[in-house]
Amino acid sequence: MLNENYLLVLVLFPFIATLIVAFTRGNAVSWVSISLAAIYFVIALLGFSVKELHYTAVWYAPLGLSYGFYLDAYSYFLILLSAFLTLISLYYSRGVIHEKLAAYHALFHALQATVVACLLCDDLVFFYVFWEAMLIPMYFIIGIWGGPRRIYATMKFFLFTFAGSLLMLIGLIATYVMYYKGTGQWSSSFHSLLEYYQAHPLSVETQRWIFLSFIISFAIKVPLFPFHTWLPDAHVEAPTAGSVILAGVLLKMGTYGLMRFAVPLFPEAAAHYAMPLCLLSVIGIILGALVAWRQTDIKKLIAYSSVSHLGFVTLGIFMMTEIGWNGAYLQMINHGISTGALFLLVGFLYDQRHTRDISAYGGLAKILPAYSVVLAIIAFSSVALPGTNGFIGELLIVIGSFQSKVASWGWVVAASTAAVLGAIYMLHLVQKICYGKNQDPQNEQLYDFRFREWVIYIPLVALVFIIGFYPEWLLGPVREKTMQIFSTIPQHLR
Amino acid sequence: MFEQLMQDSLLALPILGWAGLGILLVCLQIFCPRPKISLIASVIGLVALISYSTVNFVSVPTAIFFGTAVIDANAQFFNLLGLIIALFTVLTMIPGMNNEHSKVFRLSYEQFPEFLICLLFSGFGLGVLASAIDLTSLFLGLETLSIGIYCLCGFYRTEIRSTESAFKYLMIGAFSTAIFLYGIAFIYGASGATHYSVILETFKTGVSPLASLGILFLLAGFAFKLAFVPFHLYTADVYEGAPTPVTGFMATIVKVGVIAAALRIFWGFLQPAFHFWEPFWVALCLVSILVGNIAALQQRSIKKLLAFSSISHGGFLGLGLLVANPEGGNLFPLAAYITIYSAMSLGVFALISHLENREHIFSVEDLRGLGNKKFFLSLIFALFVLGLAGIPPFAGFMIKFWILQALVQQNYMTVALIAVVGSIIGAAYYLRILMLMFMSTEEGAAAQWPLSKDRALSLRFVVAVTALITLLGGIRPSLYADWILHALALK
Amino acid sequence: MDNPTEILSFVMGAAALMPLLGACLWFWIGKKFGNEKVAEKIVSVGAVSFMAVSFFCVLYTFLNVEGSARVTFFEWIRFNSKSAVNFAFLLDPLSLTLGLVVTGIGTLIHLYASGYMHGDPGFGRFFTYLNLFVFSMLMLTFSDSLVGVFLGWEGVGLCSYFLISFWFSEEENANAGKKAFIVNRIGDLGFLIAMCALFKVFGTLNIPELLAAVQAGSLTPDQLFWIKIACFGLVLGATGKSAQIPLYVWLPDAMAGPTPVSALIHAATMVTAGVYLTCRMQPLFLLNLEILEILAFIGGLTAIFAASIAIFQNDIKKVLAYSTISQLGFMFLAVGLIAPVAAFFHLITHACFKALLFLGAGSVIHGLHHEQDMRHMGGIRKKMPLTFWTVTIGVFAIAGIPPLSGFVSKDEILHFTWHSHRWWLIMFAFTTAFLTSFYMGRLWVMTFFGKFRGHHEAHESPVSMTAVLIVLAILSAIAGALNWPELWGGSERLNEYLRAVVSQAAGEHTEEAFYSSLKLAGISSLVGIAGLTLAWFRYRNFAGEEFKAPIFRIFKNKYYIDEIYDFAVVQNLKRIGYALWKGVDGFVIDGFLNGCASVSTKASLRFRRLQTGMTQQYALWVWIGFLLLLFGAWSLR
Repeated sequence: MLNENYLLVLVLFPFIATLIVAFTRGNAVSWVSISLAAIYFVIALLGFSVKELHYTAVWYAPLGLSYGFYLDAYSYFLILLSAFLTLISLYYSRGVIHEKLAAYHALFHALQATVVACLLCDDLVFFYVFWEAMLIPMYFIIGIWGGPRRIYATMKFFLFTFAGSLLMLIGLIATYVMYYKGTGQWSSSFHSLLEYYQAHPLSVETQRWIFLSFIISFAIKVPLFPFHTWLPDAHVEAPTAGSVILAGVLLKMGTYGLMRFAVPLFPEAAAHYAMPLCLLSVIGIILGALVAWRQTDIKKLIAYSSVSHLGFVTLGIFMMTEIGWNGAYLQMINHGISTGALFLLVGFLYDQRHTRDISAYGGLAKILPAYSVVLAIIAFSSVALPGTNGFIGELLIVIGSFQSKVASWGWVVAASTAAVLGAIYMLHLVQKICYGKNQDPQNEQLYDFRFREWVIYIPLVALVFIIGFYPEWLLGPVREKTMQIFSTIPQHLR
Repeated sequence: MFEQLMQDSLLALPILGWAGLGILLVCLQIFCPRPKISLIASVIGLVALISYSTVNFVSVPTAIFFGTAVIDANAQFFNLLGLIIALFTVLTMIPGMNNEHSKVFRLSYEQFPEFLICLLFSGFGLGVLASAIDLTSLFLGLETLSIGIYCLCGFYRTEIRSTESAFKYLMIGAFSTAIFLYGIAFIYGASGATHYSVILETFKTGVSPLASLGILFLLAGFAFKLAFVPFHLYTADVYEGAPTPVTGFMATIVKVGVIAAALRIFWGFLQPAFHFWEPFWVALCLVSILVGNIAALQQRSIKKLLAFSSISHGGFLGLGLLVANPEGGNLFPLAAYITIYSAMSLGVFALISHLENREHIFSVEDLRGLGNKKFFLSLIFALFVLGLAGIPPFAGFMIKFWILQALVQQNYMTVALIAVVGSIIGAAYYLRILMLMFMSTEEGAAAQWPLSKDRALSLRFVVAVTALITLLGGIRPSLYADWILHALALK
Repeated sequence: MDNPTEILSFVMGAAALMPLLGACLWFWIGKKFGNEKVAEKIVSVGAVSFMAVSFFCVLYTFLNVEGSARVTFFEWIRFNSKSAVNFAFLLDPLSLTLGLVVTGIGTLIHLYASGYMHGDPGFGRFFTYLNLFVFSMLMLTFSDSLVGVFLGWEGVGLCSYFLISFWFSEEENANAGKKAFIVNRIGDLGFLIAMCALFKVFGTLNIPELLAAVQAGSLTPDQLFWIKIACFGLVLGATGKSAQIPLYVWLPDAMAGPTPVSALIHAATMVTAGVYLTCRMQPLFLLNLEILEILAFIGGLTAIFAASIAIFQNDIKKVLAYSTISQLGFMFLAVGLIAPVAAFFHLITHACFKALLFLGAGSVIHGLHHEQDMRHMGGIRKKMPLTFWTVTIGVFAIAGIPPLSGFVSKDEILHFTWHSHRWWLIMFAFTTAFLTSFYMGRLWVMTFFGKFRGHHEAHESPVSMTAVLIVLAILSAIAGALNWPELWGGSERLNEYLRAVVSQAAGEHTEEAFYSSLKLAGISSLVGIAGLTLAWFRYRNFAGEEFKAPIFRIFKNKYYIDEIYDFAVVQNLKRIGYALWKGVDGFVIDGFLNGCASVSTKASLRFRRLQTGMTQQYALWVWIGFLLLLFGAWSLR
């Protein structure tokens, strides 16, 4: 069963699901969509043992464009994460979203379809098409079901990412045209480009500016330091399910792009720009943590914490060490789980009390004991406490990057202060919500976890501890893939 | 001499067909002046012409009519494109004719055949323009095309905006035709001939200052027709005033004609003077992309906004022209751009003509909350808007991609970068339309306007076809790409 | 299940997993049955029995393992093909002694806590955290890899966070817990960097391989540099966890937690982790002796600094907290002077008598209905005789009165300090010894002698608490026998036992060595007795206020260290955070973005004004456009 057409099923199923959900009428739409998401999650699980799958069909021969699908460890686990988070967030928004339900669910399936297509595609141009197409469903999700300032937030989100990626388009076309100039025939499949550019790499200048155009687009998506201001607005205004997917999946596309396209294609340029990029990552980490500490809006706090976490991931990537990359990839998955869970937990409060102000809550540990236990566990997972998933990723990044030949170990020390800063703002959040006395009588009516919430949070907490104590099922395939990628990177950079 | 003439006219049937159909309609007006019959005759005629020209493509380029025109792949392709555009415009105009809720147009129903006649003769102008290899026939084609459109703009005679747009288009058009004529005169003066090949020979030996002045005038003439920035000011008012299907027709057919003619000239006798005119052309294109998009940001009327968007698309077409040198085989990006752009514009303008209410200007604010009331129509509108914005996965992105790729291939790196920056600014106002339609809670005027009761099947057909091309054009470009490559004999 | 390692792995697995299993159990029971009597009974009996099982398992291994053994459960993190980190236990003298102390004292404190926490609604929750703490402490003690130690290291930090802010309804308890966790985290940062440095040099993080590679010798200067960085990191980690000079501020505030917590975590076990780590990684430290010098200096300085503050504290638990910091300073002093066995010996005796003192203070507080201020106590020796006698043994032990355990272990450290000939360390050590006996005497006299100054009548604590006090009193009395110096006819059993793992200078057995050690012992006991008698006369009929002179305000407010930290670090971080948010994000980046937006809007407004609607102007623009082209051609000619 696990051959190329498995890839076809993996890519086409969400598109079909979008159409089905778009055209179901009445209130059955949420059940139809949740079951479709569940089926897709099972399909994704089936591919667990797959090592590498190729599927190429000619898309437009004269210009060498081809429907290249390519599944490997890097894209597989992100697809699994996106399927899992979509299922959970759709299940969560059952009781929460009431108007335009069909459109809501259809957009989520469309978002998943474009994300999966983007992850799977091996063709640079095809990757770019879905890299941009991802923005449209997110634009509508934030825009239609968002909070009061949603118009500004979603416009800023779309234009910021769109501008960055158009610059990448120029770089992408340049790589693809240089290949044509070199070999005389068109082909935009990533593997042929990769072999070509290893055999005879580009001149350093062209390699640098093309790498820069790639970096700007991925940096905006990650978000790396100077390009991150769209994230807090987008998260604050997005509906809960929207910000879970935005944080859990869309942010990872940036780092995925870095690991899959930018660094392997242009290793010298990556080494050349390693120092400034590490500087930006470290600034992002420290700025994200400190600013998160001063926030009064809980969602903004978590959004800035994502900036800090992903700064750590990008540091691992730009330091270009094998263990660092394993840690960075693992940290991407962990961030998806813990920040996704944090947004769901905040959404749980917001959808009952309709306020995100941190001072509106207090002393919830007495009223919602189960809620505060889960919040504490997730908070400590995001602070990378040993035994939880965050620690494995952070440990690998710190230990791997320490031996980097590309940038100095000082960056790692500066970045690991995130462990302390992270503890500060996360404990600040937990204390403000759970501990102390409850001054607001409205908090009394909050209901604690029912069956619906446990169905969401048990798998998340389980994942936190499973990856924390036994990460090998995830780390093994990723390690082989990193070894394979690093074999293509010249020796002196590794 | 006579059978030579007969042979040439047989060859040039698709181009002469336009005029034949026009004359047939004029005769019909005399014998049985019922508008319905002339409408059916024109539709059948156009369909026949389209099928005829798709079936037998003259693969060998042959000069006809004593060397004033040539029937080669370019001419036939652009003529065919013109035919399709004309057919779509007629189909979109039909419901406009008999919407009963305002008696103003009742009066114009009787004059509908005149509309068809003007349309066909301007189409004939396009055919001549596409096949002209002589400055005189070039000028003739251009003028027939423009004059036809002047009348079409003013078709709603009793409505002030329509006549105002026709008048403005006429005055400015005449002004720039004068400039164009100056150009032809100077080139004729410098080279002593009007035939392109002869001019090419003289220019090969050296481009005298008089010739370069002529080239500049020619360039200004083309720039005016493509509505590049310094010459673009008429576009907004003309597009606003003219009947919406005519705006669609104007936005597309004029660009097709100019592209066909410029392709022959730029890579014909202007080739030796390439280094002279190339910086001007690049500057004109880039400025029109940037200023077109910036100006569109604050436009309140939808048609004015789309006018400025067509200016920025014109800029992209100009860049397409720049890179479309026939030897390099890069004609495809230009042809693809003009085809898909025409499809999207016709679709958008057809949809606006369906949604709008002629009594007052259709402003962007009226679109508020359209998503809640007329969801399906606003979904199609959103599809067109995303296509025009060039956002993947729709066709709009694919054509921009090919143009940028050709630019990068001929290492116009900075030009590609500025073009990309222009389309970033462009995305802002397209998104504003989407935002108003779907995300705002208040209720705009457009949501309450009653849709015309009649089935408007023809308009739905046009919108459906163009929407399909925009939707699938991005993911399966081979739908139209193979046809274009075959038509331009590039395969 | 026959060969020894199988049995060992089963036994040690049980020792570690029982507390973890217990933790989940009590949480579920606590949540399920609230705090009815029966649930409390089940949980207390269950918790103590689980702890007893764990203690006997460790005892069994202690008796059956000669030399050291290594037991692996399963692979945890694989870095690359060559090196991986497993869940595995390293059973050697060092870890087994600490394991015995942890589980032994832990069982006693569990018993005590079941009495102390009687009637508290969070009964189940309390024992969950306590058992979880013991699990993490065992992981810290027995793990064979630095990452495993780090897991235990932060695990105990987490449990101390939960236990300090156990009564979380009061804001300051929660703040104290948060402060403890964050300050520990700063220390853990050092530990993390040390791990990275070691991995960079040796490519593995398993302690046995690491130490073997270090002892194999022939290290390049670059490797030595990284080992120096690693040692700095370990020192920072140790000072964070064992509350030494820079990072001690969290321990006094940690007294916000229940008293058994203070006894177990902040006296006997967690705070000793730093000493254990420095002893475990001694080969690394031996490579760069100047770091050991720094360690000794930190230890000495902390000892005298904390002792000087303890004198002025009025809260009984705060006095004991500062006394713990000071005694830990002593231990680090010993480690710094390459006398790990002496440090470990003092660690064991200190665990006994400090736990006794804390639990004694707990029963005093329990008796006086949660009265912690010594100024409202006095003259309760008749009402609480058992507590009085056991606490007296504790006070005499810590003051260094022979022949109790405190005297023996402190004397050994003083012996090493004396022979190190560093006059400033000697001055630190002896003044601290005097100050210790003075403030302990002060505590002793103020609580039990003079007239009663409290509000409620004192009553003796229930038997479950006093029984534990008696056991601990016996332990802290006879613990000295463990390492009775040979010079005085003892057999120094602990020395032989630990010699396999850590190296320490052996004492000579000549005549005048005997006389000098006797002289030294005399001085130290004299210092102890002097401190006590001074306290007796000063506080015998203590009225109310003391130390009113303004000079004492510095000591009372703990040298304003907390305020300095808060002002220098916390407020500045808050200000930077706010500045970054409003300044960098709000003004610079968003300013730039919104600026671009407004610039393009203004430009588009100006373009719109061009659309005047008058045809002549359009024609004019066409002409101007053409003129521009001409001008361009002219300039380019």
